[in-house]
Amino acid sequence: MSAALSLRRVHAGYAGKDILHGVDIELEQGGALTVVGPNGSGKSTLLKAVVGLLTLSRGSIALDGKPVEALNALARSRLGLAYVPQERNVFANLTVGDNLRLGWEFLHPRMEASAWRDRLDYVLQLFPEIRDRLSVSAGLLSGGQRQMVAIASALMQTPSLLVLDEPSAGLSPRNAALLFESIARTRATGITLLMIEQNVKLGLAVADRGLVLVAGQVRLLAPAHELLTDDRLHRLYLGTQPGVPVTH
Amino acid sequence: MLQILFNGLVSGLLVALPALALALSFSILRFANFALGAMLTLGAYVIYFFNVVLGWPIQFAALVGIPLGGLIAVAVDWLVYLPLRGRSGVTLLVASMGVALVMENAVRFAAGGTPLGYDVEPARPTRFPSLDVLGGLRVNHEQWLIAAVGLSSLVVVWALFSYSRLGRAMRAVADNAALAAVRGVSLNRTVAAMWFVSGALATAGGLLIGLDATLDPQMGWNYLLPVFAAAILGGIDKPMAAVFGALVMGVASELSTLVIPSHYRTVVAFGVLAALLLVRPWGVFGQARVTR
Repeated sequence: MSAALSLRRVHAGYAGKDILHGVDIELEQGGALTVVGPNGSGKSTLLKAVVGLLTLSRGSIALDGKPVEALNALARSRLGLAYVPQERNVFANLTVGDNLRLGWEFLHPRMEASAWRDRLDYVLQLFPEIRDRLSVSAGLLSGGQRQMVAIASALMQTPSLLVLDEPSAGLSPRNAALLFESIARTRATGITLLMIEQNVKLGLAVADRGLVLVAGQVRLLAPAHELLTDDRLHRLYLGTQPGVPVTH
Repeated sequence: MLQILFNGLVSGLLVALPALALALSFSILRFANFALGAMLTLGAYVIYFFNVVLGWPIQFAALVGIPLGGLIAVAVDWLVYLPLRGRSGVTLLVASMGVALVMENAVRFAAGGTPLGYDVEPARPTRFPSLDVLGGLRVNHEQWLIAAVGLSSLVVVWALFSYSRLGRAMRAVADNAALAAVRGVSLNRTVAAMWFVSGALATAGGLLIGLDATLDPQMGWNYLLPVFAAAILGGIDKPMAAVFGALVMGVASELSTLVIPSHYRTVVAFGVLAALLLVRPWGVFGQARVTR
């Protein structure tokens, strides 16, 4: 079986200057990979390249074995990729219900209304906190609820690969913990997950493997539970001595 | 007094449809479409062609002409704006000025510069004697038509915008085009649909203005300033708010005739706009934007 996501020698950046320098990633079907790294290491650039918001200068990307580097974000979403950006990740002027509907209706234009309701019920089971907020404008939600709506909208696409860009950014510890409970439930459904996350402990807790990106290069790739206690993570990511707890 | 208020609302409806068209294109593409006046003129003449040249009743001429105006706007997008997508709003604005010149001169070339009028049966005005205690109300045939076409167009666009799949796509693209793309919304299809609605609204606006007065190749330019003012008054990135702006401008202009000569009424509407811009430059319903 081909990998859910495969990156080969990927170079990408902005205005002719590469930020990523030959990144290789292989993510198997149903796997979960959390990418960590210091600020400016190219994590968000990596995700933008994966989802089609940034053109590669070199290298290749494949989804389920199909080359996608020439496809835009819309075409990749039709191939089963759903992306949740770090900021501006909901349509603030639309209600929560319309945000969720929008995640569904353009990728399933011919499916029956019952299929839409079934999917909505399924997604709201993963994010019960937003069930009674469907008629509220998404711009009026708290940061934590907004993140939940963003991920729930992405899941309405029935993706095979979910890509999350720092879901805990800007959230209080309590809201971040609540959000990651929902992400863990989502993960348990068997979806393939690629995530970048500054909160190393939370990010690695829901992943099989962790990857440390530094200066646009993969510096470390290991099982998530091992990475948390790996001294090299401290040196590469935090720039601290071993023994300092990794809590961000 | 009642007559003045009614006349004000009808004047507002004349501006409301093109103002809504302007706000619609601005909310999605973030550029001020200066070709709107010319789209209005061209649309009015397209309906004139069916109504007078082919001799169709005005209702049928409008039913065919309004969608045709929408298709012309889609064709202009395909020829001019689509190749410029991604450029700055200023580039698109300048391009729209070029489009306006081409459209207006095409009309002048095809129909000449002489004022023309639709072939509409003259009819007696409707009087409402029971309202005489409020100063009386007299509604002429053209005003009925303007109210009917204007209000029904606004209801259709409001329903489309609020409840349809296309409306959600338009609002999503207006809010965040990149996020809309990753949720599966096609930007090109949504923009084409927006141009269709915008062109149809401009054509309907041209029809109403032609019914109220006459058709001439400059008619769009004469309305461009009030249309921009109305859209800005409501909040130019809020399409339905432009309707509010247009109605306020219409009523304020008509009410001003109670205290100043009627040929100064346009000045009053702009006075209201200037005062609002001083305290709330993003419009009554618009949102302040911070640029860093």
